[in-house]
Amino acid sequence: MIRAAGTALLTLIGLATSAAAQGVLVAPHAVVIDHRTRSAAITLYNPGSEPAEVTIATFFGYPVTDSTGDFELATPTAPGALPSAAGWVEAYPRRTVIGPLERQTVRLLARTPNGLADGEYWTRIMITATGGRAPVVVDSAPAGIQVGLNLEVRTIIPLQYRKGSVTTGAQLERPRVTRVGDSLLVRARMVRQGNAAFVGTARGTLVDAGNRVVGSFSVPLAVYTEIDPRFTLSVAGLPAGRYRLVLELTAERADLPPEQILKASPSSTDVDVVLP
Amino acid sequence: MRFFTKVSVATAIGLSLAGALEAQTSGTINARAVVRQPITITAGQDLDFGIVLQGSPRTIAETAAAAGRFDATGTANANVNVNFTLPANLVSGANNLPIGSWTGCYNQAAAVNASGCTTIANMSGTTATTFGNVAGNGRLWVFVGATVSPAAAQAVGTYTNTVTLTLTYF
Amino acid sequence: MPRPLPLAFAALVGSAAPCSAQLLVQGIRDLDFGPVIQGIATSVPPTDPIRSGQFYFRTPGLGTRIRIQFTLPTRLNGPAGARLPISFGANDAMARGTAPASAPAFFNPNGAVVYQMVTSPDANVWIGGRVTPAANQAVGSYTNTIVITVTIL
Repeated sequence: MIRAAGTALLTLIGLATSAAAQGVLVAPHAVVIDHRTRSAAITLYNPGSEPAEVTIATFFGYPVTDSTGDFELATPTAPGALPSAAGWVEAYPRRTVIGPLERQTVRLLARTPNGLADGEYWTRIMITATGGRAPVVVDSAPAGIQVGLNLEVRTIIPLQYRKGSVTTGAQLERPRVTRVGDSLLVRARMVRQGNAAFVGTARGTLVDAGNRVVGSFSVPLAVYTEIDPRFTLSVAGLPAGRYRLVLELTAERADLPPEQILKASPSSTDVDVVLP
Repeated sequence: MRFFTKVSVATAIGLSLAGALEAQTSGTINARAVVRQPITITAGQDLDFGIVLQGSPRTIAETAAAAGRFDATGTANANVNVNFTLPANLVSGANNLPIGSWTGCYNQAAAVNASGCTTIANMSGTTATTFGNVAGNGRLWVFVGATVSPAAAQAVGTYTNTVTLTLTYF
Repeated sequence: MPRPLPLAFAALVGSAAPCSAQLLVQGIRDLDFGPVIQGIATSVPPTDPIRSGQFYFRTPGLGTRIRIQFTLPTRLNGPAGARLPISFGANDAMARGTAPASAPAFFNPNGAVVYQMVTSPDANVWIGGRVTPAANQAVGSYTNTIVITVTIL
């Protein structure tokens, strides 16, 4: 026991409860339910050494971009004209405890309302995992104070429910490019077409006057309504001169099963860039 | 009760050599698997305040070795939002122990906070970032610090509360 | 335990063609690992009532000696030539006769086993296994074939 004169010790421990990881793996990170089966499943895996308490909930939300091009989740209290599935997609179980190195399958079942029109409906799945209570270090002093913080991690992933004929695409507007330091900031407005979210990849390629690729980026994204995202491309070390930035959108995602991706025509645009 | 008797391997080989009397038939099935990419966020390291004295605030910076660390994985370069729900007090019955001045940063390249760690400007708001847009490795590390301010006459007891980290995948 | 061949059995295997007609082997259910997560090995035991693979075979009659042998893949084939390692352990196969009182017998599917039918002329064989996806394993569906060969000895 270490004690300053007249002073009790406070032993403060962790945001995280222990050195062992607290939290769960969630797979897949995007869920699609087809109206013909009306169900899907996600797998949760506890990589930690302590049981994880997990709850699953749904709410309505969709990605938008703010004025700087950062993504954020719009969560209107009422979806209005937007197609929400939050009220009728349910998770089973909604609450579970997953033991160390164990997995749990969570079923997602849709109880669609009567007369549901063809189209794609959206919701978000929130998986909340709470690790074991922080291990309280018991001070040997009779007047000791013990302090601990419990950790809770939440993972939010998208779910799309598709019924009947669904189509998608993204209208890509000409990119705006500004130079900030040794990088190019690329903004491009994208407007969804059809009746389903566009899920794909934005690829940017910077080529010099000799048509040689001198920089590139590849960003997975989704266009639910419209977005104006920001991309960053390093131009450090590039000589002054005229370049061309090619931006293209394709309905391809290496991280998602192909059958989950709606087909869409690729779109491409370009803009000249002058580096002083 | 066993449905059949297992014959020793030696005997089996002996019998197999009498191949003229063999009859065999095959059947097939498929082995199937669907590989999925996970998203995960776990607590990688405690925010460790160590020993704190009554009346003596103690701060752990997000860049300190004792900072809390969260480890996340996902699709490389995917957009993601990080959001904290932070308590103002740790609670023990009716008693509060103030905790605040939260600080944070994230690193997409390595699980160290000494360099390349981008400050999270508003710990009570939403921070937009990506998974590994530096190394393209699909990893993200988030570091957290805070200050606890025990009063000089802080009541003894066990103080707890919950910190929530939300990771939104688009 | 080795047993002498019964006379009736010897008559049955007297020619290959009639004997072949007496032996039926069917694939009943695929070995389905379902969704597996990158970097996380997944095992299916042969006792899994849903995911384990299942075969059925019927022999000419009680007392028949049979040899069971699998042809096992070492990888499942996935998108764009991706391969997912698959392995089978010492107790990943299980055989059980169809008689109500039959007890399951576990064995290693990597090698051949020889049995004599005692309580029923037919049996089911279940097989489990383990897939080990790499951390960067390509997402998508993977498949390959498991073959069981039953030989009357």
